[in-house]
Amino acid sequence: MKLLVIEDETKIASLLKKGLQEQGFQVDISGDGEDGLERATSTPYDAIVIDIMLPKRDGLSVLRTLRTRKVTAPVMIITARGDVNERVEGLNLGADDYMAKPFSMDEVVARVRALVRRVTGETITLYKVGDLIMNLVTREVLRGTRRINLTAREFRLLEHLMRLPGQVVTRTQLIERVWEYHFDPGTNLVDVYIQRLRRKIDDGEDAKLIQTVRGVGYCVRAD
Amino acid sequence: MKNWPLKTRLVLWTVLIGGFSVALFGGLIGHSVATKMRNHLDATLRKEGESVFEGVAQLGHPMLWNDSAEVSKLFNAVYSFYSFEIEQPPGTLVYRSKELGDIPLPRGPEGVAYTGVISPTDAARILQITRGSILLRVAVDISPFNEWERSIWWTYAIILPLAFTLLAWCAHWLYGRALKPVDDIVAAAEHITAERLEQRLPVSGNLDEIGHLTTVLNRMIDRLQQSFEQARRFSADASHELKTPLTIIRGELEIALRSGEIPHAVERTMLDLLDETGRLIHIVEGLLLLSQADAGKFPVGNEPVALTELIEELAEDIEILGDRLEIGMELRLAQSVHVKGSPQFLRQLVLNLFDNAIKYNRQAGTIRCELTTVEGMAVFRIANTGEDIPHADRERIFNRFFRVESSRARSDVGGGGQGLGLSIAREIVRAHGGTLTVEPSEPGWIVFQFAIPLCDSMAGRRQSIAALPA
Repeated sequence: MKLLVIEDETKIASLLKKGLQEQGFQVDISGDGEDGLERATSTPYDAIVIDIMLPKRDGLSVLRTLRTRKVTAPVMIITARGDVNERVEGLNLGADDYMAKPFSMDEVVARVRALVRRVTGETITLYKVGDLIMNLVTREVLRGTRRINLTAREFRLLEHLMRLPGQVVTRTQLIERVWEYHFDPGTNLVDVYIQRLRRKIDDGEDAKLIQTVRGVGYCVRAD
Repeated sequence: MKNWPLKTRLVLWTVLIGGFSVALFGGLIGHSVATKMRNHLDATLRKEGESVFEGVAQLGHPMLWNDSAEVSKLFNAVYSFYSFEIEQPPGTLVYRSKELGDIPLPRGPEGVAYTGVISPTDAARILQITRGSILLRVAVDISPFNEWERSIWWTYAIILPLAFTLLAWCAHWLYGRALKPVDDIVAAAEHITAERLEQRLPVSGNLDEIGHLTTVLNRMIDRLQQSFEQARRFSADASHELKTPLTIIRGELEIALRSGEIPHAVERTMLDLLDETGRLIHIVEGLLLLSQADAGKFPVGNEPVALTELIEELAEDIEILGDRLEIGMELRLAQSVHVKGSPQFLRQLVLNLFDNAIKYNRQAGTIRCELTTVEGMAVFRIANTGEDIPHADRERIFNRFFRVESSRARSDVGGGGQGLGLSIAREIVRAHGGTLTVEPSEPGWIVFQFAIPLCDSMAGRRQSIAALPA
């Protein structure tokens, strides 16, 4: 999987490179709009990440030119402003996704993966941890042979936990990703929902899959 | 009267002072002319009386001339304005002018002119002179003079109200003209708000007081604009500059945590750091949003938002948050209320208010929400039990980073706010064309209320949803 990151801020660029490389992507960096456009046209990439504010040629112009040159690689734009109009314009020009600074690397990785998958047609339909199976297409959740009914929000919560099995997700991260609350409404909201999930998933089972991690967060793990 | 418009007061004073002066001077002049005329009349009366007396004294016994038609004719020819009565000796009437008929002239003091009635219709000035055996009364009819005086006063009575009216009208026109530039300045100044500081007052070009005022005010707005822009740019620039390092801190922490190579002892610290970074990012985003609002560029959307459903969904989460304090929740929401705007910001608005209602609540308290539609506006009212907001703080709580007395805030709930929640809420409501206020309430309750215009397509359906569900 080959990615191109067009980003002039070297620190952000190397952060993106580091984070994406760790997930098995091969990452090229380009420092300005002209160079980025040149590379994106000449080399086939699986996905391109473009910052809107770029020297020489701005990101939206790069995107527009790429699309007129029939470069179909999925594009994620990154903006520092979080401006609604900018996002709408980017999506209209053919961007496939959008991230606002300050972004979360976990989120970028997850979304870039989704972009690449969309192109290759390879989609993840199942998450599996121990004997807990989550089908993202049919929205079915099975613990062994037992079918579990989840509300929409419970489903999203479990999805975010199972997306990165074994990795701790903090309450704040869950609030941001599952509830999309961009402020801190207090963490016991997450606790209450986790309790509900536990009751449905772990009650009566020997192996407890949903684990509290030292008071900071949760993870789904089959020990 | 202090609150009346300046123009009205000026006109009123002008009419009062001007009108009073005209009335006073007119009255005084009229009075003095009449007095002068009367004095002149009396002086003439005395002169004529003296000369007649002399003639009578020379003629000797009046019996001789009383019968004489010629003498009588002479009297009448010379003194046709005057009437006479002669007694010789006093008490015995020897002559009376014909026009007097049989009615005697009224008696009066000696040597001083007095007024008396000489016929049912006429009044006269009369002078009595007695010397030796002769008594002479000379009278002059003053009814033409009285009539003239009356007509003068009548004219005066008619002209005075006219003068008042004319004065009022002129004053109104004149002050209106003089104050017009002030009205213009007020109208222009009303359009200049914190969001539109680039506007200036119209300069007339005249070097009078108004022109001077305009220049001074414009210079003041210059300075205001400068400092506003500085503050705005600072907070926008600072938020912007903070974004890159924050992205890097968060990203590096996430990458490190995911690597699985972090010792457990450090992992906990790093997770805490990650959460704190997230909090810092919220503050920076809040500040950036507020600086955009200050610049009049709040990024508000324009899509229809189902407010009822939005609140219902959030209320569910809030109920969970309130569980720990056993806070009860009462919802009364009008069905299918739609407004135009951005769902993301409206969600944040309602959440901020809910968050506030929990943070400043008491153990086992209540949150009471009501969504209604009033005159084309969606009105959301959220009341919670808790310590009253001091009156002085009612506006200040919307200030950035304002915290009420530390005893009020329950820092154990919701982890403490950033002090931006209500300022952001107010800006969101403002960007949606509405208002957010603290409402007066009974003691022990805190009430916030926002009203934003309903979606256009809602207007026709307003009636059907106005009724609240039981």
